[in-house]
Amino acid sequence: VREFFGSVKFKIFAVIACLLLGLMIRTAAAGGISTITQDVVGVVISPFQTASAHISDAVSGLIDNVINLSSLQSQNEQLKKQITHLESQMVDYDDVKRENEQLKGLVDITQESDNRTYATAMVISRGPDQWFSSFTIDKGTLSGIQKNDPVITADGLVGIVVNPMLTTSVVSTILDPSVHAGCIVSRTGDTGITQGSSELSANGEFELAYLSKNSSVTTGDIIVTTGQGGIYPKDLNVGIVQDIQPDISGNSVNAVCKPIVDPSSVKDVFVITNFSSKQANGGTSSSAATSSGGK
Amino acid sequence: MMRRLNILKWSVYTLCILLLTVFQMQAAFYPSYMGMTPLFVIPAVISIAMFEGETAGGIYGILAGLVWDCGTGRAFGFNALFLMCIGITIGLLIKFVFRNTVLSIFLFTLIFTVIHEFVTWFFFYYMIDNHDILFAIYHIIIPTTVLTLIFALPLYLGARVINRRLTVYDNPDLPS
Repeated sequence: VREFFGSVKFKIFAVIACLLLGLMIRTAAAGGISTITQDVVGVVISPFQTASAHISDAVSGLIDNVINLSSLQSQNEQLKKQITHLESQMVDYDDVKRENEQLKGLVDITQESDNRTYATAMVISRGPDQWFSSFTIDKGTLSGIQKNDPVITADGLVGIVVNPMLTTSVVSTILDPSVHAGCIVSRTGDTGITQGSSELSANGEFELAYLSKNSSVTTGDIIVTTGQGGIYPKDLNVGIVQDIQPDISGNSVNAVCKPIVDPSSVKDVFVITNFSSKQANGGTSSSAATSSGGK
Repeated sequence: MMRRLNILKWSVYTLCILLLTVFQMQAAFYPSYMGMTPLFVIPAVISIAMFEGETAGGIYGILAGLVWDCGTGRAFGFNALFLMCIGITIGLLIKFVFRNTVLSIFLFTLIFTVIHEFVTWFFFYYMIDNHDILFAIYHIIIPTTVLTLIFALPLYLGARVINRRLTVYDNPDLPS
């Protein structure tokens, strides 16, 4: 052993260890901003990750189809019934829409567009040590992605970018205790802040905290983003209320919610790289999305 | 011939380590238990260190760790440093203390996976306000360790096959 510790090999390893330690400290100090080394390694391995993600999707799709054949048939029947039901509702919807347009014209409401720009991305990896369903996507700063950009699907919010590299980015989901979003219960108008926890994330849930004690929020209510703070655009679907629990302080209630989008199975996402209220709020909002500046 | 065989051996190890590290991030290839998936890289680096010694263990630890670090988005270099230390430690332990047996791979994988998970929890979760140690033990550390142990034997046997087929010894009496 002494021979090894006195050898040139050991000295080289010691130098490498110091360099790695320096890299760790630099990354930690940068608060999620990638280093050059990280960018270089990321560029080299991202094609492997993308290829393996494609193979992985194909394999899991094949396995799922075989295993779920019978359930897919019954699901198909259910969906057909649902379509018939929705088609009848569409007639009512068209009437309501027409009426709404007329009323809008009467009260002179102008609909504000928030000029969103998107980057489409694919989930290329999910590490076993990435807790709270965090994942890596195949787009990075070269595609205009920045730290704290919201990540969504067509259904709603998934999470935010915590570590953008050149060609890949790490995304923390809404289940992560370090990710917060100001939300409103769409039916009642009650506002709160989302927060994750270890216990809730084990069931794939998070909570909407600081709701008023007198809130009439109930199971099945949908929560959406308020758009305040400049991190998330307004009206992104976030979750569905599953349960209402009193806060330990007794001054408020917390709504346990299921995310609209299951972060553990999402495959294709959109990153909102820009929107008007983000521009308006500028850089002041970066600390609001993550409570600890990224992991 | 000997030089070619050596180049082939290190290339095979490099490819295996890269593939295992990338596949580690793809949940469809292997079973998940309580939402957790196995860590292929730890038993793979341990196996290489057991058969090839501390230098190879350290080098492949750094390689695998850097690739792994790219996917986690945390302090870059953490896994590289951890796996390098594992590689060197195992190489020395096998040379001076332990015998290279199946029992050893299980023991090392168990110990180092648990240490890795605890260190990960402490630095990246406990220190950012997530103090629930029981949750970490029951929902993350135990399932991950159990799944990793399942894959330790195939990885050990794989490394043994590569070592035996592609190593040429000057002295045939040397242990493999």
